[in-house]
Amino acid sequence: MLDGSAGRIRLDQFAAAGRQWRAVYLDCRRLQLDEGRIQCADARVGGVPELAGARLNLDFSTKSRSGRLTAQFADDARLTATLAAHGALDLKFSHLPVALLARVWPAAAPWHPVGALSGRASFDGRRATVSATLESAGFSDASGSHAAEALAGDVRLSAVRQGDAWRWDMRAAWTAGGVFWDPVFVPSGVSLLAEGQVSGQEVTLFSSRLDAPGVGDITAKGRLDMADRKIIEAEVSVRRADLAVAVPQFVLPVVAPAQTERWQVAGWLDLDVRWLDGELHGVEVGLDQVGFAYLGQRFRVGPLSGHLPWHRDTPAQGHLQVDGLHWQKLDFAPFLLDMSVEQGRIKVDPARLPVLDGAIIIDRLTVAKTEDGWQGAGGFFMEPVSMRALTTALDLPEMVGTLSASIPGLIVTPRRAALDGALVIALFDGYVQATGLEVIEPFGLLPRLRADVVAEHLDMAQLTETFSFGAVSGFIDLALKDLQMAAWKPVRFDASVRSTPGDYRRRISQRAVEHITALGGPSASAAIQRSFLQFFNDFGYGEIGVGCRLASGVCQMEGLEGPGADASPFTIVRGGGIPALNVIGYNRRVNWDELIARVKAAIASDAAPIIK
Amino acid sequence: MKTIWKMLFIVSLLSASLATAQGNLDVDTPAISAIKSSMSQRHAQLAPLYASGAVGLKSDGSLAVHDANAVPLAQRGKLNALVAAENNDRTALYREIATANGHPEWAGDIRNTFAQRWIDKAPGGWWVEGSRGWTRK
Repeated sequence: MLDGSAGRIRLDQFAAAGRQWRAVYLDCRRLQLDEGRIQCADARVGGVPELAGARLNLDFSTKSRSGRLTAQFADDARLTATLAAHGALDLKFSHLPVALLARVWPAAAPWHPVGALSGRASFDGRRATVSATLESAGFSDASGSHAAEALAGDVRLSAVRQGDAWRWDMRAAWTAGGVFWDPVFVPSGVSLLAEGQVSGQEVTLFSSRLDAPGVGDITAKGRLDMADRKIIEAEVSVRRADLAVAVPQFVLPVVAPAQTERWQVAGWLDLDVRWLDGELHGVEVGLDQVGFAYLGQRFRVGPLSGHLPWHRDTPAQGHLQVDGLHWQKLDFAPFLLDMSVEQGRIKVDPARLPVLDGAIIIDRLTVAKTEDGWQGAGGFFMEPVSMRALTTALDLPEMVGTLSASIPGLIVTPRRAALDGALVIALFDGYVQATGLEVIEPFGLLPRLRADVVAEHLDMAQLTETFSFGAVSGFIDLALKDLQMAAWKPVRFDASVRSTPGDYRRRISQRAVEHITALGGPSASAAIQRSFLQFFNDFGYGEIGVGCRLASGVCQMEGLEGPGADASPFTIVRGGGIPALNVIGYNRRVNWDELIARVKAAIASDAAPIIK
Repeated sequence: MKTIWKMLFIVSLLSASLATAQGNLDVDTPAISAIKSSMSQRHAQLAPLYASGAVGLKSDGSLAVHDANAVPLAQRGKLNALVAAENNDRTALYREIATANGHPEWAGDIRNTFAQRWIDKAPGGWWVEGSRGWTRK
């Protein structure tokens, strides 16, 4: 028997939180041992460095196996554990430092947890309850890429034993602070209500509901196999997720971090996901008034509403009503897309997308999952669009004629769009054909285009009138090989323009002579039979031919004679008929930007050439 | 025979480095102007991040988040987005300069040359990656 003087209690071994301490002792300022009752007051712990500084009071009866332990830590933190005679354990804690967790649990140490935990927990073998509040909490890894600050929240959990199972319900609220889990930042305002049952390795979720800013109401129920970490069966529903909040916060940082500020998204999403027999069985997506835009207004879709289903075993029919589609300055009228969705594949039914006075017809379109990700493939053609309407809509010089196109094969991936076959446009009484056309990163920071373009039998009268170039009668053929554009501006090409072979009227006006002369640079001249010219507005010509090989911002020019030394003159227009003229260029290397500026200036000045 | 192959290999290496040395790193095309303009607009946002150590210059000519702790928690997502966007632009810049020089295969060498340029020109206090890891200039 001890009567209250100082004493020491030794424990050979002490285990908690997966760790063991040896030679642990309590130095009690007052120690009493009386008929199986141990009372140790104002004690310090030795042998457990993590608890250095804590003051303990222990009152335990070995007969009834009941008692109380209180621990007082720095900063008013306190823990009281009461063990009743019938085995019920009651824990009360206030301002318990979360940092203590890192001290006793090494795995938590690299996360530098902070915060204070207050609340109560009890367990009596048939019933367990936990009620806890967390304040000023946080954690961070060394790089700060997984971190939380100023967290606050509370949780209430109760569980009742029913046979071999535990039936439980919980309510949790995260009320303050934020978490950054690279690359996603999640702010507070999240609450969770759930009830379920744990039986052996199986967890059943009878119902749960999660509310969070932007993601609407999420409800879930189902059964999980914790041993295999597998969903046996489940239903998850999302109602009215606000895409304007959820997409920039959760989706774009993951799928397109470089472009999070370039996409604008709006609208509402409903989502139902169902698992059966351990496998994903069906997904239903509902879209309501969804819109998205890239770089403000250059590409805009919406409002868009519809239903997209996916069922594991059977194809499902979906539809999308698109009430707005806007690209550059082109507006499409509303249209409906019907589609069938099956395993890894979406097949769009033929559809008509009205634009201006014509339409784009989707002949076939399939979006399928491939080894390289999602890929779209299809065939399209165009109901003729008047060039007048198109050029007006695109703010281009007004052109006459019609545009019709046939795109037999189009392949689209998130990174690349390419034509398999030829894009043919009927224009200016001739045609323009593009082959090998591909656009890389069409929605990227620097869209790049490659193509080979040829045009035949373009009516110069229509062409020159359209671009206010003066008047030239006759026809030309054009070849634009290895065209490469970046940010929709030409970077490289090998271009050649030649009069179309054949017998037709070939006349050129004084203004057109002026503008063609501008192509040849400041030293170009019209070698003309001056004495006659003042009496004539136009002249005959035999052949027109000019070429430009663009590289590194410089256009290497050539005339009808083909390539030649930099200093050698070249013929752009060879005279023929009466009166005839030749246009000769002298500068074969021309800066591309200067050339464009010069042609624009010549056209803008709209002055008749002065012929002396 | 082996010696001949070795000599040919050395000659080809020399000619490759000579060819690179002849490349014009200051070439300008519409694409390069567009990229430089985009990078220049972003620089105002990146400058304080270099200075605080949040962002550092890597030895491969790209940027990396060096210490996210230097940025408030709610801004760290934006920090990632800025670094990703700048790296996209830099990769495009190296590729376009190589293409403008008529040698797309030079993109890797141009990247290395620029990497050294960025690091050499970085003011004191910025974090740069060298052969021994991150150091503060």
